[in-house]
Formats: sequence, structure tokens, C-alpha cells
Amino acid sequence: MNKSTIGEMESFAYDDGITRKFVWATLVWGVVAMLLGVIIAFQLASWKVNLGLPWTTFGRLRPLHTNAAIFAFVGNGMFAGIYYSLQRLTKARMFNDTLSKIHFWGWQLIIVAAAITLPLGMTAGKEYAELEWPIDIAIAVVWVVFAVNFFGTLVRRREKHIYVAIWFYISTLITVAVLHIVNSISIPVSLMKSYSVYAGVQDALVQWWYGHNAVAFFLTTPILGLMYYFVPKAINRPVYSYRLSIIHFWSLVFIYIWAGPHHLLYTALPEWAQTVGMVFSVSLWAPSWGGMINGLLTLRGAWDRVRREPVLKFLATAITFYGMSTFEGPLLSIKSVNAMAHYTDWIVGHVHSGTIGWNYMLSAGMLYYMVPKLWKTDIYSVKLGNLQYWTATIGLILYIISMWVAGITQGSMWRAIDQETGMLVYPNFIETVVRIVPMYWVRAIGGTLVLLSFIIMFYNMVKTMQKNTSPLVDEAHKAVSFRAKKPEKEKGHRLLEGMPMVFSVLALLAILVGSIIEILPALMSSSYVKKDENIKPYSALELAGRDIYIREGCYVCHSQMIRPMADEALRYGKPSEAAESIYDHPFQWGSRRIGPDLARVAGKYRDIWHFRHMMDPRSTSPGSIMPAYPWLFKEKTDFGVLKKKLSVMNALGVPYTDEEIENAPNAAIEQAKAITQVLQESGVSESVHNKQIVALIAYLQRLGNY
Amino acid sequence: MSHDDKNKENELELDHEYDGIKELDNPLPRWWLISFYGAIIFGICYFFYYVVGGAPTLRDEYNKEQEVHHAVRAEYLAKLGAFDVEHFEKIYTNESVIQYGESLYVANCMSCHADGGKGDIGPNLTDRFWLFSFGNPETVYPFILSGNPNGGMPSWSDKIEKEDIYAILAYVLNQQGKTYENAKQEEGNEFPPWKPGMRTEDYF
Ligand code: HEC
Repeated sequence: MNKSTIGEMESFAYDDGITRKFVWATLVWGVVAMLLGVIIAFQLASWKVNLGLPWTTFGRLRPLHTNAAIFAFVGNGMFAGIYYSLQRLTKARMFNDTLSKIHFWGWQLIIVAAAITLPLGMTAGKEYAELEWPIDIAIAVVWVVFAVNFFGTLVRRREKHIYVAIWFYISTLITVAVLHIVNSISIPVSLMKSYSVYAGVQDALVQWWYGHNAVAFFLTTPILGLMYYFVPKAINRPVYSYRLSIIHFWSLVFIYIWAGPHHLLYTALPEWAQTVGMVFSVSLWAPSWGGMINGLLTLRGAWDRVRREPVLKFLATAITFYGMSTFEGPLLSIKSVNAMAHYTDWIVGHVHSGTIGWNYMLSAGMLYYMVPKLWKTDIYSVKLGNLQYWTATIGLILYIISMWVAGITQGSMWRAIDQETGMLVYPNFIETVVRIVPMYWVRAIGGTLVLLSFIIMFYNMVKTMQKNTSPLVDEAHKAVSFRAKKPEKEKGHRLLEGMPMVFSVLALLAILVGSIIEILPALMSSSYVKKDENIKPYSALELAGRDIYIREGCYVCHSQMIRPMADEALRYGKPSEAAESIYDHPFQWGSRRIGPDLARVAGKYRDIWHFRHMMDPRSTSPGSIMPAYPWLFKEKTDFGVLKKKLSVMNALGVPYTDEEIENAPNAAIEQAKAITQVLQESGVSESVHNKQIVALIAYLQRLGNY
Repeated sequence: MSHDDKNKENELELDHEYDGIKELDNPLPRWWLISFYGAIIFGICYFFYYVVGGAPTLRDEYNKEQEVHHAVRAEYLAKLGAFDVEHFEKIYTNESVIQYGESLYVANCMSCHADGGKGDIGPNLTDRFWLFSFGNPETVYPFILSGNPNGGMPSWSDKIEKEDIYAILAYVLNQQGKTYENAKQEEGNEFPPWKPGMRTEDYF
């Protein structure tokens, strides 16, 4: 940087090289994330697509898809947009080019690590936070690097006031750090295995505080920031309302953080916390729509251009879907609606109207705006842009509608009780599965269209980049730093905008209020969960089986949380109590019922049934879409590590005696032999006691049996 | 955009600018403000009503729902009446009885006798071969109640209400003669198919 004397023009250049890198990463990971999505969509339509291999089954690929879509695709897109706009909004080059590079390469390495470890079954077993502890640490480090680079740039800014886009970036930086660190705390058992320090209802609360706010502060606030930059730039019109920006920013940031428990309505979470989650979710509607109004009304008056130009078309559609999903979200948080929709595919449709409708569309608009500028050329083909737009939109609509139909069908079939006999109308869960398989096909086709549309953009962007002939050097700019100007008299929010560090502290306080009030009681108070003396820790073999359950991602298809409703009592047994999962590090309540709830599956079937079912689910349950797990019959249980596992659990407060820890491997072998004998009496000829299937059966036969 | 709008916009425009982006200072739309404050007021009222105000909790609502539900069940079971062949013959073709029996079958029997009674761990119930009875309701019924003391079939007398076994039996006997893919092979002795009016002595 070329710093001249105070009061004069300073000249400087933006680092656009780093933005170009992030643009490439966005394009590449976008294809990967959507391809994975399409694969798992077809796996639900036809179980054969699981391919019978451990690393290609639904339970392992689904977390990879969500991680790739959120952290790789949207993440890189967000960074590209932030690096591009932050420099221009502050009239300053990024604080430090090396930090920018570490941020870029570090983030890509983390993604590669995720892409290797998740299919191998190395998972912490918490939705959207599956990565194991060494990767979690890497994420924290890279995030801090990003934060230093970001705040360093703010310190060196030439523009005194920070624009609303930057407010949103700040809230993202701070909140994601807090969420990630608090939620990921765990104690390692080995290099790639750890147990969450939280258990049961506590873990559920922390996890969904994190999970919901990953949606809020990774998929929403940074993207709103991008909207505030790229929409007025692209349409070249002023932002509709500064006042609205202020109100909706602060209300969004303050209210969002409370809404997590709407993922836990009707569960064993204390009811006051559920109610808090619901009312804050409902209150989120207006603040969210504030962003939508500001975006759409900025576009007002130039609708003819919106119809013609891909950039504006994508941006306008993104904002519209943002409005739709932030209306649907509060609706789904209302208890009585949630009773019907929770655990169904409706939720999956809701998420995708956000991620595809809002995140993908906005990223596309941003790329169509940025790429020609970054590569100093024009877009290769507007026609392809339009083709992409329509392919994506039609794909998305197929997706959303099929999931509405599937979700409402599931919800009403699960809940149907015959008024005369008082029994379930569809007692066999599989009937409700078979009924929605056609919708899974429609969804898979919709998803394929979305993937195709993204590939069209990939091609269009690469062609655009190739049109460039001049060397890509960072242009020099000139500006006078605000420090050289006479300070103006300011008050209120305007004053705050000139003090980014104070602003950041206030934003931190805004998210801490809700976090502390909601979570602290769960961590501090022993009365939060009513103890039940009958509930004993898992035996060593059951714990081994539980880790297999986590490794295979059974929790992405099966819940373990029976809600207090007549139909669930008939289908699954009495409602789950918080005390039942106090030893569950991490909790496995799940969020989705592609298969039935397993909280009380113990004793429902004999061991031989599970043995056959895991080998080939179609043999016991014709029409099932559950993958087969043949490798569990070959791979051996690691009895040796159980001592370590029990002692880590003990450190986390699970009451194992020293003797139990010492004797864990032997006790596990003993229990495995007893199960094997029962299996042999039912006609299993091999000796399987050291195979993983036996540990898994031990775990399943323990669920709900104390 | 009309000329007037443009003028109004110029009035609203704030004097600051970032990378060429200007901001207007439009007032907040009234409907937005109403929904903003409305939702917050609703939230506060809702919270106080449900958390402090003694409104029924989810568990209260569940218990009430269960009460109604148990009453429905009790009434239905009473209507089914006690087992006797003649009564069975009257009801066993009744669709709702069969359907009710099926739901009980799915919950209790299917894990061994498989889908539709095609047999798996337990024998096939759709063919004319029977191991421990003659395949008529009078002899199948007590077997379900007692089970096989030597293992395999458990006793159901204390697990399922007698009247419910009645409905299961209706479902099972209506499955007779149905064919399934991968049905289990025949086991036991062959008996003529049961028809209404047939009594145990007819089998000798
Ligand atoms: C793709 C989603 C999916 C995954 C992943 C999955 N299941 Fe299932 N599961 C199902 C479906 C659908 C059913 C219902 C049909 C059936 O019985 O197969 C089911 C049924 C079951 C049942 C019978 C429950 C009952 O009450 O009848 C058990 C037990 C079970 N699964 C265990 C597991 C275990 C253990 C894993 C992980 C190793 C697993 N499932 C992974 C979809 C899945």
C-alpha cells in the first residue's frame, strides 16, 4: 500500500485475486454439493442407489451433502462476496494478503477433510456439526484468521461509516464463532472420535441453538449483507429505507438467536423453553420481511430490467424466496402446525426453498454481476443465463411442491386414528413410506434440474473468464481517508456506524442475551431434568453399538423422541422423558422420520429379526427404502477401545465404576456371546459374536428398555 | 417512474454514499410496523398465558387426549363381545373387524409371521397346513392364548385382550388362500379349509 501524507489522496488497490479464488471455489463446490444432493435424493427413491458400500450409503452421504452445501458452496460464495464488497465499501485493501490466502486455502482444506472423513463414518453425530474435533479446531482457527483480516480491514478503512452490508457481516463473524465453539466442545476418545460434553436434553438445546443459528448467521445474515451490496449496485438505485435497515438488522440479530427450540417442540425439552422458541420464531417474521421489503423496493421502478438481465432476475427471485421461506418458518414454528409437520419432508422442502431459492439464486445473481467485473469482460451468454434461471426455478418448484405433498401425506397418515376402533389407520409404518416414494422421484428430478442449471452457470462463467484477454492486475484507486477530513457532528445510529468496534461489541451482546437466558439454565440447574433412578448407563457392548449407530448416520432417518400425542403413543409407546437420555453424549433425538421412531424399539422384534433386517431390510419389511448394511456382518467390533470409551464417558459424568471400566472389553464379549447364542437358536449358523451387527443389536434391544 | 416520484426520492435521499450506493430514508411501511409489534405483543401474551398463566401444558393436553382415546377403545372392545363360534361367524367377515385385526396383527404377530401371514420365523398362516391346531377358530383361538410351552410361539393371554384375539383371528382366517412371494414352505398337517358352520368334530 502506498501511504502518502495526511490530508492528501491515498492510492491503493483492491485484492481481487482472492475474490477470484473464492469465485472458483464457489463454482466447484456448488457442483459437488448439488451432485451429492441429487445422489441422496435418488437413494430415497430407490434404495439400490446406496450401492451396498459403507461410504456411499444415505446415512453417511447426507451429512456430506449438507456440509458441502452450507459450508463449501454458500461459505465460499459468502467469502467471495464479502472480500469483493468489504474492500469497496471501506475503500481499503484487505488487511493482510497472507491472511486472505490462509483463509482461502485453510477453508478448502477443511472441506476436503470433510469430504474424506464423513464418508468414512467419522462423525460427531450432531446434525450440521458432524465434523470431528481436529477439523472443528481447524475451523475455529481459520475463522479467527478471517476475523482478524476482516476487523483489520475495518481498522484501516478510509470510509468512516460502515454500510449496512458490513453490519450483517459483523454479526455473522461474531455469532458463527460463538456458535461453533460452544456447540463443538467434546472430549476426544481418539484422533477421529469424540463425545460431546453435553448430553440428552442439554445437548439437544445447544445443538439446535447452533443448528438454527447456522441457518440464521451462515445462510441468512451474510447473504442479506450481500443483498444490500449487490442489489443497489446491480440496479444502480438507492436502497429503499435506511431506517428500515437499522430496525430490521437489530431486531433480526436479537430475535434470531432465541428461535432454536422450535426444532424441539413437543419433545422432552422443558415447555417454557419450547414456548420461548415458538414466540420468538413468530416474532421473526416481520424482521425478516424487513430485509425482503428493502430488497424488493430497491428494485422497484425497474422491473423491465429485472425481466431482461440475469443478474437482476436472480436477485429478485432470491429475495422473493427469502420472503416465502421466512413466512413458512414462523408458520412451522406454531405448535399445532409443527405437530403435523415435524419429522416430515415438509421441513426438507422448507430448507430447500431457503438454500436453493435464496442462497443459490442470490449467489448466482452475485456471480453474474461480479465475474465479468473481476475478469474485465462481458458475460459470455445472456441466453444461457436465462436458460439456467428457468431450469433452476422449475427444478426448485418441483422440489418444494413434492415435499409439501410428501410431508402433508406423511403427517396425516401417521396421525390417522380410526374413530370407531381407536386404533391407527396405518399401523404399519411402511405403508406411509411406500405412499410417498413417487414424491421422492419428483423431488429427485427437481433436484437434477437444479444441478443442471448450476452446471450451465459453471460453463457460462468459465466461458466468460476465458473471454478475458488483458492481464488481471489490481487497479489503482485513490481516496482521502476520513481521518484526514474534519469530523462531522453525528448522533444516534449514525454515530455508532462510525465506530465499528463498539458496533461489534453491541452485536455480540445482542446475541448473548438470548443465548444465555435459554441455555444457561440447562447447563447449570440440576432440576432441569427430572432424574429417574431406573435409568442406567449403557453396557459396554451397547455403547459400542451406539457408536455404530452414530457412524452409520441412522439418526438422519430415525428419531428417538416420542412426542406426547395419542397416535405416537399407539405407534411407539409412551412419550419420551428427558431423564431417558441423560447418558446420551451426543443426543440422538433426530429430526426426521424417514423410518419409524426407535426410542422404544427394544423388545419389539427378536434379535433374529434385526439380524435379517440389517442384512436386507426388504426381507423383513417389503417395500422398505432403508439401506442394507452387509459390512456390519464382516467388520469386527473393537472391544479393546471400550475401556477408553467408558472412561471418557465417566469423565463426562456417566456413573461407570472403575471396575466396569476396567472390565469393559470382557463384559462386552460376554454379552455378545449371549446374543450370538440366541441368534444361533434362531438358525444363524456362523459365530458372529465379534461382529459389529451384534453390538448394534445389543444397542437396539436396549432402546427404551431399562 | 414519474417525475413526481423522482422528486420525492431526491428529498428522501441521504447525503452519505458507499461505493456509489445511496440510501433513501423512506418511513417504515405501516403494515410492517403493525405486524412487527403485533407479533411481539402476541408473543408476550402467549408466553405469559402458557408459562405463567396456568394454561394446559402439552402433557395436560396429551392426558386429556388419552382419556378420550381410551374411552373409544373400551367402547369398541365391549361391542366386540366374548368369544363364541357363532358370534365369530357373524363378525369375522366384517371389514372393520378385519381391519382392526390387521392393525393388531401388524403390531404383535407380524415380526414372526411376516407380512400378511406368509410366514418367516413362525409358520405360514395363509396355507392349509397347521402344526398345533386344525386351522379352525375353535382350535386356533386357545393356541394363541396359551402359545407353545416348548418355545417359539409365546402365550398371548396376558398380553392381548381376549376380544382382540378374536379380531386377529378374523384377519388371519381371511388371509387363508392368499398367495405371497417368498411365502414360507408348508409345515405340519394339511386340513380342509374352514367354512362357517364347520365345528371341530367335523375334522375327525
Ligand atoms: C434411508 C433412511 C434409513 C436409514 C439411513 C436407516 N433406516 Fe432404519 N428404517 C428405515 C425405514 C424406511 C424403515 C421402515 C421399514 C423397515 O422396517 O425397513 C426402517 C426401519 C428400521 C427398524 C425397524 C423399526 C420398527 O419399529 O419397525 C430398525 C430397528 C431400523 N430401521 C434400524 C436402523 C439402523 C440401526 C440404521 C443405521 C444402521 C438404520 N435403520 C438406518 C429407513 C432408514
